[in-house]
Amino acid sequence: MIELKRILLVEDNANDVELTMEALNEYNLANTVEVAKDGEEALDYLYYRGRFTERPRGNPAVILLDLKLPKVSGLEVLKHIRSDNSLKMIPVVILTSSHEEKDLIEGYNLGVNAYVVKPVDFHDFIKAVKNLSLFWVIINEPPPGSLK
Amino acid sequence: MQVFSPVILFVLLIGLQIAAAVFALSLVRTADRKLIWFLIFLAMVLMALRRIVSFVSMLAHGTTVTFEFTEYMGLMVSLFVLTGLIGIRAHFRTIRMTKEALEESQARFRATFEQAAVGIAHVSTDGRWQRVNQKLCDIVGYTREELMNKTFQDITHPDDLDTDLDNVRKVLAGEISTYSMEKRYFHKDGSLVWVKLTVSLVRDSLEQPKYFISVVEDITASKQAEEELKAYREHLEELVKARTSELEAINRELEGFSYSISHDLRAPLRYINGFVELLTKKSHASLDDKSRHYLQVISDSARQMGRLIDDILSFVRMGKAEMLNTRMSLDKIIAEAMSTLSSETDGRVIAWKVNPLPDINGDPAMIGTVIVNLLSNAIKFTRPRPEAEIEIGVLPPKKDEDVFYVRDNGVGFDMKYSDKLFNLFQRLHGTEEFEGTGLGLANVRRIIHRHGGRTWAEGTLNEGATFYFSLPKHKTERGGHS
Repeated sequence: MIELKRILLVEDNANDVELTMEALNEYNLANTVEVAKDGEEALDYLYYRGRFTERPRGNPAVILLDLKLPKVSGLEVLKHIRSDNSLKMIPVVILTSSHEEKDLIEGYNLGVNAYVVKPVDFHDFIKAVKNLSLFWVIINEPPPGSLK
Repeated sequence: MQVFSPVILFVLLIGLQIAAAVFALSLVRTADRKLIWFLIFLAMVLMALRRIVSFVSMLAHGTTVTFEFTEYMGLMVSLFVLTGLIGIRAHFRTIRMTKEALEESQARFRATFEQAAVGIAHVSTDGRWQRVNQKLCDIVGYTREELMNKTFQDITHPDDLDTDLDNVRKVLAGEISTYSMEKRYFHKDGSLVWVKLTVSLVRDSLEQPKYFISVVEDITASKQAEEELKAYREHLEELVKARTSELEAINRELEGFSYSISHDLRAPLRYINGFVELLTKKSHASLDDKSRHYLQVISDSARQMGRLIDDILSFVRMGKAEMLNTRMSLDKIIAEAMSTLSSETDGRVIAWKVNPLPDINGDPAMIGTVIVNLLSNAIKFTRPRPEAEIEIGVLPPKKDEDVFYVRDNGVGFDMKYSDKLFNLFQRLHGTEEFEGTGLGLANVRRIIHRHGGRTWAEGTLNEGATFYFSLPKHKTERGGHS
């Protein structure tokens, strides 16, 4: 039984959000996605603040995290998540266009679960998102306390 | 006894005495101690007169002329005196000539000494100036008289004194015969004069030191030029250093810039491609051929733009990247390239002829790019052929370089464009016939040039083309040889 696991997509670019949704649609996961358009909204979501005060309790099964975000950057969000006992177990996948070594190093240092560079080619991008969601949402067993 | 007639003898006797008198007279004229020669002249004249009187009287009285013993004595005496006077005159002439030669030699020496364009001095073994020429005085600013009261130590710069004295000691001891050094004298006005000093020692007949000959050349001007040159050079180095760090900063900026450009440009490309695809999928049924064609053009253009961005980035990166220099196996690089290009060779019939190649020195990533570019071109331009033939090899080895080639049986090119082939953005075909960005060969040329090699190509329209590149043979870093 596929339970309604939640995906938190932290992405500032509306086009990338749309493409990602199209990809997730292939596995009928589109309605499990919650979108935060910057780092602050991401933290609001995780802490039931702002417009997320009424959201169902429980952590997302996976966070797809872009790095270049306005207000609070992706790596800062990651740092917050990993330093909070109630959040630190959430699987985080960095999904970014940055190839830079320093981002890789800091990401892994902060304990990211996976680092995926957004493919330039549209088809490869779709494939990557599908593969990610297949693994993290369907195959992987999320930590206890995740939204069901 | 009476072999000759007495008359003749008398005449001879008188003649000799007159001749002697004449010679004595010439000596009076030319020699010193003129009184002596005058007295001898007088003596000879008187003796001649006596004989003349007695001879004339004998003849006048009709007496038989007799040449007695005293006359013979007189003859001998006159002969000896004449001979002596002739000898003395010749001797004096020799002396005079020697004196003239000596005077001329001395005059020459003086001219040389005084008028030389360098300072010359005779210096005693304890350093006193004995004799100096005008140039030396000009150089150090003292008059002759002032210098005579000084030693060279008095006017030598203290920093140069030790070396100078040490050299002097060596010359006196016979360790060296001459020495040359640059040193400073204090000019009379207190300023410093840089000179080139050359010193040699004159010894007497017993090999004892007599005096030094010092040649002093004023090099203040050239020393100044030297200082100025050094200052300019240092200044230049400062400028270069500043410029280099400026350039490095610009380079870093450029790198960040080009990197972010490529990413910022790629995202919209992804959207163009992506949404055109989604649009096509969504409205495929309701689109007519023309519309589908328009969408295709949009898609292809976006893809072309993506390739261009990639090629430009790669080209820019090749220009400034640090170049590695390692030994690598070309065979391995070719194998890797062929695997990279497998997507382009899928479904194609290609007869590969890969000859064994030597190992080379260079940057593996860059050489990899060269091979991929050349093979990719060969694959692309042999597309019209049912069976493509692509050969990679090396020409017979030469002493200082290896020449590699990639030959194909593709569409070839007109040799009259062979110069343009490697130009940036230069293509010989439209994108309709063969896709491409015009960067591949330019990149190849750039990389090979950075490795110290050359690139060129030969081709025949519709028969094929061969692309050559050479790489110089180096010594490797760890032993071995190429």
